[in-house]
Amino acid sequence: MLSYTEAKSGISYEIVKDPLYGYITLFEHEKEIIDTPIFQRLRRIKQLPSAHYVYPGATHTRFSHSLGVMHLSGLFLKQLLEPYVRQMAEEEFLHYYFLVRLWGLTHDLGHGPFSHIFDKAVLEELKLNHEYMSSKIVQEDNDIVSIIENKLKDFSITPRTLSEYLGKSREEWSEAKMLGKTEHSEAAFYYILKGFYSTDVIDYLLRDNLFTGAGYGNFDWQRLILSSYLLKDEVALERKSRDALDAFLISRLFSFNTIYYHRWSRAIDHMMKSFLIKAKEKIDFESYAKNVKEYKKLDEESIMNMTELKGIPEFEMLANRIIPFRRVYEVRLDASAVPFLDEDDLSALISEKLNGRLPSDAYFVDTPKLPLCPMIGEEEVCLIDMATSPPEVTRELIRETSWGDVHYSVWTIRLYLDIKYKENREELTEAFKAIVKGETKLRTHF
Amino acid sequence: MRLLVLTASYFEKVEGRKHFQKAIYLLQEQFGIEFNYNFVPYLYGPYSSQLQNDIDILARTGHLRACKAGYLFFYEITPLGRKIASQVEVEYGKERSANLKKEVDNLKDFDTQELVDWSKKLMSEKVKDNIFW
Repeated sequence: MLSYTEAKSGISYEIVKDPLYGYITLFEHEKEIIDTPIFQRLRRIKQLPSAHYVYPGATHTRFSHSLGVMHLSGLFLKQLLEPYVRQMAEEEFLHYYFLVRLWGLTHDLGHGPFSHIFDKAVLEELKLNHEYMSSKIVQEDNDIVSIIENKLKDFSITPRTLSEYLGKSREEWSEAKMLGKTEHSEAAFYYILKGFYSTDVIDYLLRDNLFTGAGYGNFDWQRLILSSYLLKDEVALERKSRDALDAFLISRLFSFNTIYYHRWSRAIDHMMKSFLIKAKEKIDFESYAKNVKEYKKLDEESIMNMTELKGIPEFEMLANRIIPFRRVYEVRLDASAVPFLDEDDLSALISEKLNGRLPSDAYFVDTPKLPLCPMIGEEEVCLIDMATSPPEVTRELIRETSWGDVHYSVWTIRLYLDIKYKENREELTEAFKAIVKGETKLRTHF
Repeated sequence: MRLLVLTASYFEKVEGRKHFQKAIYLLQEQFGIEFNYNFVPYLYGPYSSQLQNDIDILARTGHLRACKAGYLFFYEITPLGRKIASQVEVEYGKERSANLKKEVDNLKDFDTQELVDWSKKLMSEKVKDNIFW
C-alpha cells in the first residue's frame, strides 16, 4: 500500500514477495535497475560466502539482501521525514525518499565473488574496496546511468548524487544540507544505512539467521525504526524502546559467535582467500576492476567456471567441500586486551620459533579484524524521552547500556593446522601458546 | 597498531577523524612510515576503515581519549598511551623514531583542509582511475 506522497509521485510500481517483510514495493526505476545485468549478478554472489558449507540453507544472496535494505531504508526515511512534510516541498521529500531507497538498493553492487574475501585478497592491493566499486558502478554503468538520468531527473537525483551517498565516510556527512524549513540536516540520514542499528545490519541479521537457521534473529526491528526521530544531524531512539535495542544487540552478539566467526566458516574463508591470491597469477583482476563492463562478468559462478583456475588446489577443495584445516587451539580475550599483533605477526613469530620445521602453508592464524562482541566500540546511541516537555535527550555509549555491559569474549585468536601435518600438532600448539601467553618476549613487528 | 600509538603520542592531540586519516595517509605514502593501512579514495580523500577500527580500539582501551563535538572526534594521548608509546619508541629504534617525530612535527603546521588537498593530490598520482576527484 503506497502512502499519499508516494502515490502522488506518479511512478508506477510492482510488488515482490520477501520472506522477511512480506510484499516489497519496487518502483519503476528501481525495477529497471534491478533488471540490469550488473545488478542481476548479485544473484550469483552469496550474502555469506562460506556459511553454506556449514549451514546448508545459507545460500541467500546479495540480491535479496539489497532489496531488503532498500525496503527498510524507505521505511526508516519515511519515519524520520513524515512529521515534517508540511515544512518541506513534496519534491524534496520524494528526492530523499527515492535517493535513500536507491542507496540501500545499490550499496552492495560493488562486491566481487566471495564478497569481503575479494576485498582483502584482490581489491585492497588495487587501493579499492567494494564500497568504492559500488560508487564507480553507479557512475559508470551505462544502463544504470541512463535509468537514473531519464527517470529521476524530476527528483534531482543524478548518478553523482547517489555515488556520493555511497562514497562518504562518517565525517563527510557533516557538510550536508538542511531539510526544508526544519532544524534538521540531511546528515542524519547517515544513520539509516551506516548507524548502529542501520537497515544494512537489521536486514543481514534477520536474513542470515533465517537462512542459516541459527535462530538469533528475533528482535523487534519495526519498533527500532518506528521509535526513531530526527534530531538535528542525528537520529535519536525513543528511550522507552531500549529493550528493542537490547534485543538487537543480543542478536548481533550471538550471530557473530554462531554464524560469522564459526570455526569452519573461517577455515573456508582462508581457503577462499588462498584461492583468490593464487588466481591473481592467472587472471588480471585489475582490468576487471577498471572497467565496469568487465567487472559485471565477475561473480561466484563465473569464477568457478574459469578453466585456467581449475588447477589451483583450493578450487577442488571448494568445489567438493574438502576442508584440510582443523582448529587446534583457540585463545579468547576480553575487552581489556589490545590485539597489537595481527595474524601475519603471529604467523611470523611461529615460523621463527619452529625454525622452518613446518612449511608456512601448513598452518594459519585467524584473528578477525572486527571484535567478536559488537557492543564494545565507541558507538553512541542518542536516546530521547518523548514523554517529557521538551523531550529530554541523553547520549550513551553502546557498551555502557545494560546489555552492552555483558561480559563476553571480545577477541578470538585461532590456530589452524592442515591435517596432513597432524604429527606436528603438539609442537605447533606449544609454539603458539608460548607466544600468546607471553612466555617469550614478544617481538614487535611494525 | 603499536606504531599508531607512538604516532599519536607525537601528535598529542588530533582534531577530527578526517585530520587523523589524512595525516596517517601522508606519513605512510609520502614519508614511507610502515603502517601498512589500505587507503581507498572516498569523497573527501583517502580513507582506511582498518585505521578507523584501530583508532576506535585504542580509544576503547584507554590509550587515546576520544571526545565528540557534533560530528568531530577529538583524540588525545592518555598517560597509558604515552607509557606504551615510550616502549614502542625503544623497540622502533632511535633513528626511525626521530624521523617519525620530525615528520609528525612538520604535519602539525597543516590544517585539515590542507591535509585533505595534499593527500588527494598524492592519491591522484597513485590511483589513476578515481571517480570522485
